[in-house]
Amino acid sequence: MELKDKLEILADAAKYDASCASSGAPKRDSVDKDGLGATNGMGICHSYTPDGRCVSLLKILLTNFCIYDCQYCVNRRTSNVPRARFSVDEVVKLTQDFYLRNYIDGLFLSSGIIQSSDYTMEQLVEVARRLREEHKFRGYIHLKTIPDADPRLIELAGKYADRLSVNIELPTQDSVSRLAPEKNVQTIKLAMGSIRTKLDEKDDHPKAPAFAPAGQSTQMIVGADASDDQTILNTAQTLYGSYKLKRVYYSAFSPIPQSPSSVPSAPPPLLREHRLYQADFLLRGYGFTAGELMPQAGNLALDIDPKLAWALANRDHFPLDLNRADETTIARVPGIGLRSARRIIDLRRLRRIRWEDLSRLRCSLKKLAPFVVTADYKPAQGAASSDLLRRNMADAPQQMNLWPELQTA
Amino acid sequence: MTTIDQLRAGQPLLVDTFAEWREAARELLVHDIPPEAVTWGSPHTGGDLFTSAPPPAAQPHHLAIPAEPPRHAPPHIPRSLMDMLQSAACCRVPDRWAFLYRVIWRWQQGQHDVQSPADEDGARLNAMVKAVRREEHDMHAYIRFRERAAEAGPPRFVAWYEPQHDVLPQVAEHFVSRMGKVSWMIATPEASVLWDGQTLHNTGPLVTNSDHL
Repeated sequence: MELKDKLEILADAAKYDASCASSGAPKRDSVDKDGLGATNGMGICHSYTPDGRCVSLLKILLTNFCIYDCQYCVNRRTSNVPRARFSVDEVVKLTQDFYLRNYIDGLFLSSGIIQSSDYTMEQLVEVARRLREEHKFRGYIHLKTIPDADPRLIELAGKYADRLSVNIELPTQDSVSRLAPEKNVQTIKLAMGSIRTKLDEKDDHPKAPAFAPAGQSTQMIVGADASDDQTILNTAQTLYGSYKLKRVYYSAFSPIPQSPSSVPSAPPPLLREHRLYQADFLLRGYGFTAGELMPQAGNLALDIDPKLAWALANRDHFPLDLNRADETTIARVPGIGLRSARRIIDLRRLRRIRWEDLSRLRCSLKKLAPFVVTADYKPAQGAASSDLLRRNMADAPQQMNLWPELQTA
Repeated sequence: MTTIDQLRAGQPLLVDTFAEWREAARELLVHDIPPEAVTWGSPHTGGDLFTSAPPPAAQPHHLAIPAEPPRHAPPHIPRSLMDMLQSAACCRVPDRWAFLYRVIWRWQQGQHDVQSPADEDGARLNAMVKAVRREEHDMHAYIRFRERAAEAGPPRFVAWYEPQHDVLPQVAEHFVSRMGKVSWMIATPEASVLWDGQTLHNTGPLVTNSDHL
């Protein structure tokens, strides 16, 4: 099989991994050095796929042959897809060639499980080792970690990779044992735990050898089981707390050719994935808790964003005086992001905040109007009810799809 | 001729680089000369629509300059503002030097909100910085190197790009740190840079004929 054909199969097979981040690596450069590559902590998207995902890394599977039979996965052993396998050399060469042409910032390498977990992991580590040691490649490397591989292999992976990730797969233990019978949540969490221990050791001993300096992340498939957003966000919050993850990625389940009947035949609404990312950002960046965002069982609202939903349900916190409140509280106002909150605080040192300032800072005036007080503005007395506000601020409703079978055809 | 002498003679201040502008601006601030009294231009005449020199300064301007202008201590400008000015200086707008001087003048007058996007000038300054940063990002991301046949000799990789702002010098540094000892060249309509594996050379515009537009 031609290299180009392999690339087509194994890049397509890797598209279900949502992460393409190349940020968070330490500063490296190749000035006056043998080898190739630099990282500066920021990721760059070099191109975009036809379905709109950004491409920052050469994202491929080493192989899409797999001995597992995870029901939601296109590469499960009972799936009828064309299979291919790269040699270690081929991946090493492709990575450098693409890097030199400035197509990519580095490599994201995952794989189906062949022979055994240890054998597969050895192959992944060997690609990273050759790039780093033999070719002095200093670009970004993200290795997917096989949870039940020997811990010594995971340690070695961390020596060469900037980021490691172990997929949690599904939001609950129950769903994992039902849909991914060969996988085990305990093993997955043990692997995450051992990576965290290594990261902590490195923090405590800065002179210890490098270990995954860009940390670890994970991925959860949304919509393949019946878990609601409350469950998903609680799981994410636990993962962030227990394993110090940099990111949890949410991958909307996409039905694959000849899906088994154990998984749904339709994908979840794309907007659901988007709302989960918004909520996730509120957990990581804004200091919200999962309980605040989802006090009851169910899913995040699709018509309004999670911060607006929280504010509408907690009107007693508002209106907030922007000339008095602290930065974290200001960032909780719908329509004001972290950067605008920072700018409001900076400007406040020079003078009082006025309504016009919010417009110049490009805050969303329509969203924030009922929630703030400035030097020259406060919301009308007897403020509108949350229901009315919600109707005014919701994203425009969409015409229902009358003949979905015509659209899918 | 000093900046002040040029001003007295009613000539526009011709600057080409941020360093030249900074020198001139410093002298103007020391002599307390307001932005309205200065006309800025670029030494390049003709060819480039955006940086071409404006007509000679209107005569009344030099009347605004006192014979013995008051001298102030050299201004202290915070690093964060200096960084923004330096970045905005790469933005191709016809009045960039005059605008930057207006910003630094207002800061010197104590109007420190000139740095904030909530201020009208501050909003423009921030927008210029953002436009330049975006162009740097795009060039980092979308330059595509083509490999030349080995027998053609260095540079091994070449790329052509048409940036919207003057960001080639900093973009070249990015690729210096990325490409190691591999030789490459990036050419733009205005200039080109060549990395021979050890040293970066400014190789000027490859196309000197102005018909290329």
